Amino acid sequence: MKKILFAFVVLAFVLAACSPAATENPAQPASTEAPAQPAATDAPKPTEAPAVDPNTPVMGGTVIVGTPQEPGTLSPLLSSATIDDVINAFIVEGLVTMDGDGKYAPVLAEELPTASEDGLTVTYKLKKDIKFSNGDPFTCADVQFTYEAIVSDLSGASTSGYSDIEKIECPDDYTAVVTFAEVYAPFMRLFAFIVPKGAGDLTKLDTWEYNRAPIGTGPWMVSEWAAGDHITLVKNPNYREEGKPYLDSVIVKILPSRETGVQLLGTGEITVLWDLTEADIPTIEKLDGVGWSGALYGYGENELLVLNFGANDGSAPADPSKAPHFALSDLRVRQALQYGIDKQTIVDNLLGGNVKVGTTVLPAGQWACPQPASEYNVEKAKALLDEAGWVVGADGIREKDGIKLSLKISTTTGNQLREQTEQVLVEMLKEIGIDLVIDNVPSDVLFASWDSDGMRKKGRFDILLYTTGGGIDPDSHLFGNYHSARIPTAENEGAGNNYSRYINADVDALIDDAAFNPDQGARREAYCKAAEQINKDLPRIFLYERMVISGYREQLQNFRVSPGYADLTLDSQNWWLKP
Amino acid sequence: MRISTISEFSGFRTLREESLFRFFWLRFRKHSMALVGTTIITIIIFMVAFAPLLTPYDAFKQDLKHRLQAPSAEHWMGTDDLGRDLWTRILYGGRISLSVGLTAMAISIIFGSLIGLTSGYYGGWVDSILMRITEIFLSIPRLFVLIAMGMFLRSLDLPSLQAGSFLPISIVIGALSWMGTARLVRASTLELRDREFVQASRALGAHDARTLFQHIFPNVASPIIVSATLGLAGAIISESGLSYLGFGVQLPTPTWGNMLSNTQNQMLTAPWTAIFPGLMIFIVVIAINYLGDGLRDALDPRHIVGKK
Amino acid sequence: MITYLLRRLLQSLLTLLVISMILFGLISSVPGGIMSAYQENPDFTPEDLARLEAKYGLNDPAPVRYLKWLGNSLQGDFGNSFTSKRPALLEIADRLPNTMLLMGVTLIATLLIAIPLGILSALKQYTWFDHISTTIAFAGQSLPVFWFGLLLIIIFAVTLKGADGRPWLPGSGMATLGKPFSLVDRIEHLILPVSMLAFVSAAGYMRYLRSSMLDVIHEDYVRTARAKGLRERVVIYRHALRNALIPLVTLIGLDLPSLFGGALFTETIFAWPGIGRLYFTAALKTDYPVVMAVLIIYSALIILSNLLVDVVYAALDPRIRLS
Repeated sequence: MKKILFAFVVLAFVLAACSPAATENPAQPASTEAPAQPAATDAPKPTEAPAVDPNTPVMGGTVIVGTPQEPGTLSPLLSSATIDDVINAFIVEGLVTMDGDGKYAPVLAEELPTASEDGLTVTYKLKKDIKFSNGDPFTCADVQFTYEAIVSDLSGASTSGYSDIEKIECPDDYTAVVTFAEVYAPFMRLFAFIVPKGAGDLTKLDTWEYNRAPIGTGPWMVSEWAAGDHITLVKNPNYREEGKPYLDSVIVKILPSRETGVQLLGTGEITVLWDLTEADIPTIEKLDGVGWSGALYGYGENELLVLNFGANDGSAPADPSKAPHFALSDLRVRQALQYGIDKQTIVDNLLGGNVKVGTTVLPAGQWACPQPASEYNVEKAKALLDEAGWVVGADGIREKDGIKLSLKISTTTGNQLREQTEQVLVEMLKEIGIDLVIDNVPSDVLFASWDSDGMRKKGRFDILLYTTGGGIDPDSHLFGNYHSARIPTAENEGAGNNYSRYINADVDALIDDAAFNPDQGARREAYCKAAEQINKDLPRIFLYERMVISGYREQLQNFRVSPGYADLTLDSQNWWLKP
Repeated sequence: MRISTISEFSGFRTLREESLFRFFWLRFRKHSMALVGTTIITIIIFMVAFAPLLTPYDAFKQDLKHRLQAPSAEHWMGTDDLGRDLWTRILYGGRISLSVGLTAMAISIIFGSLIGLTSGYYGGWVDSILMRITEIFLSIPRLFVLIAMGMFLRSLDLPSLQAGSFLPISIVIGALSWMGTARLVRASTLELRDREFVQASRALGAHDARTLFQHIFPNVASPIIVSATLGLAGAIISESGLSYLGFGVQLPTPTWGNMLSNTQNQMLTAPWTAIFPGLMIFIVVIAINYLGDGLRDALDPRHIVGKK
Repeated sequence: MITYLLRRLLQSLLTLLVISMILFGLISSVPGGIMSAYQENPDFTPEDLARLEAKYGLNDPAPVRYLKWLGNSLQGDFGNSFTSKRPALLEIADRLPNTMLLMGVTLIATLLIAIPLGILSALKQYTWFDHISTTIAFAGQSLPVFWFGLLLIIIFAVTLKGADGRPWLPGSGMATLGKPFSLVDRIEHLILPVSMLAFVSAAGYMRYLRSSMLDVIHEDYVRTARAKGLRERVVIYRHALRNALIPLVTLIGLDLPSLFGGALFTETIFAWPGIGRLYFTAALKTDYPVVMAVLIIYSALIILSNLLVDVVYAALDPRIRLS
């Protein structure tokens, strides 16, 4: 049965892929000659069809999700890569999640949790009659177990928030009362996944069978994992929504590359392709029967340049003014860089005009703080560099006191779009007399930790190119990336992401104020002021806004990319294939 | 075998040198494919050296309005992902690719010869140790370790080296390909060590280094030349492979290898970007291999040269 | 013979030990590793990071880590993969059959191409047949193997399409998803990766066989056989071929590393779920346990096959005495 259905689906794809090409143009001229007649005769046709609503979900079928990366584990307790969480979200659910609009929504909780007056007690009402895929009922004990698992010795999950929990009580099976030792304001983000108490012994967490085949309350469960090749998910027989999921199975297929994925999406061999870039959109739009869905992640992410204010010799100064960067410590040089980069050209040519140029650290969502786009002005750039004492040398490269204005730019190897962006930047900056030299490294080397002598943590770079942006609340991003307390140094063992070594007391104060101010309006204003000041000081240059994008065959109904981390699996129980 | 000293004084080519060369040439030219190979290499070296005369374009100048254009009269190999003329990049890329090949080959030959000579000449525990080291290097899965070394090298911050430098990759390739030469040279040295002219030189009180370089080295030159040629071909292939995997020379400096690094992304829409750089590697490598084959036939007296 | 074997085995073990030291040193000096992923996430507290570092055994200095690794691996425990948290050996074992299948079929295809071509070339020396096959062999040896793979994909998995609009051959993976296993399907998936590897490695074997066959034909015993009036077929197959095949054994043994290397490219390009691809992704993610396990196992295989070649060689060729 499954086989026939699959063959049918495949056939449908093939037909769909072929038919538009065959019927594209010939009809056009005929209709222009005699427009009225055919319209009249054609009109009754739809009603001749049997009275089945084409929008009634069709049961059965298989959706193949292609991904260039293989998940390492499906346990939310151990996941270390985005793909791990994206795939385990097919299976695992939490009490609260982020919905398609980026708002918190209850899943296994009856409603969003409420905090007590003093903020120390948070109460969850749990949904009743929910069963895990192994048949066990979901109760408050599972919430307790999840907490214990997260803070256990072998856990690989973040304990922030959980480490503030004093105890979890279960007055009855469907109420969980969480008591905090101190106030944890973003409590809403806790319990985004639930691990059933039957998962295993916490002292053997690393070797649980659960890690390869999680037991969850979601619509799917793992039936097969062929290492390096594919993971097959089948219906969870105990799923709470009657008659769902509509599909029989979802197969996660590991691909050699994103580009092979695009090809397979075109031929219909895969139904969904996870994680595209903006540059892939023109190709996707050319494919018949293929569409894409995108969302801004969290509060918006930017592809950006990180400019190093400190010396690039690995000394990692806590105060860059003590050991300044030979060129980038000068605001005029940074301004010249911003003036010398034609962001719109990058967006139009490399990204097919599908995204917006980067303007601010807070581009989207309820914290959005729109800022005017930066100006592209070669003359202003040149004037600023002249003023800063960098004069054009014999070879067209500027120099000062015998030092050439030669800057290294680094990003992750093997990312074609970033490599293209860099090469375009090289040409643009050559115009204003800056010699930009590309020095790319594998992503793990670029993002390496302080202890393993990571170049970014230790400040051994001039300019970095990568993507980052605000998450669920602007606090952690702004504090982590722009607050002077978060400059990685020997004292704080490299904690923090303020790689520019940017220090501005006003910005520090604004970020601190906003973190503790209960007035959301005032917080917003403070963040906006900080964003404005950041644009003046230019520790980073925002090139363009990034989206989370997936491509899919248009037969697939109810597919939508969401702004959360589990961007792919939203409503997968409602997916069905239109014949 | 004292050819060089005599000719230094006389300023003429000796009869012996002349006849040696003649002998070589007579044998070499019988290998018609080797001649073809030599011609092709010569042409390519000239093309690459005089690149500016052969193209009106700049290898670095981008034209974002004309990205990934199919081959046409204007760009007869088409354009790449940033609108640069592919033919021009192939010409300039050839400079780097050949330089990587030559540098890596030189490193492996110098290193291999030194180890081989020392090992074969001194024998005993020196030989044992050096040959164990050689064995160790022969026993590591080369490509796998190349990747690990590539990761390592990329993590180093070498201020003396420009980011676009081809030295790191040449060193990595050279450092992992000297073992064949070392074994070859050692075997020949072992054979020669006990020959009369070497013993005579030692008996006359010549310094070890003098004996090695004046008497032994010229006699092991033939196998070295052959393995150098084949090593060059191998190094060019290795460069392309490493670049394909992302550990090659940094962009925008073109090499035939790094021009291929992103092509898997484009091979559906712009297959020419994948075809031409690979074709160049193929042509050069096959030409060098034929040259090496001809050299072996001509230089190795044990090798039977075909009669036409 | 026994003492020789024992000595060689001991030597091999020492070699392997030194190799493991060198490789561990090289790999542990590459920054990155599992911790960078956690450090990037602002939700991870310093306590979390310290706990995880201890969990993955990364807080010891490199020599200590090496000794621990050595001690464990001598007991057959190569550590757990950082990404999947499963034993590195299990990760390899999962993919071993796939790589073995690919390499086995490739080796058979290689020999099926190389042996007849090599022999015929030698017997018909300097005919057009010889020239053409020698040229093809040269071409095979000069091809960048990954580029050849890309060309095969462009031609057979993209450009050439059947009547149903689907490409002639699949360009990735080892089975069509959603279909039950079928031999035809598996063979279809094997065609491109095997052709890519076999063409390149057959070239070397063919040239080798041709020249060793030529050598043998001119040997005294072959001439004697001919002089005895034996039929040419008998001379060739019973006397010449047997002796010409001996060096082939050596070559297969010594060629193993390059076959592994070729498999790395093949598996990466064709998404073949084998050890080569596992290694490449693990190397990029600095998943040290997996990287080390693959390197050590492959090194051991190479050393072992060298040893085996020597022994087999000695057994086959009475002129060689082991000392």
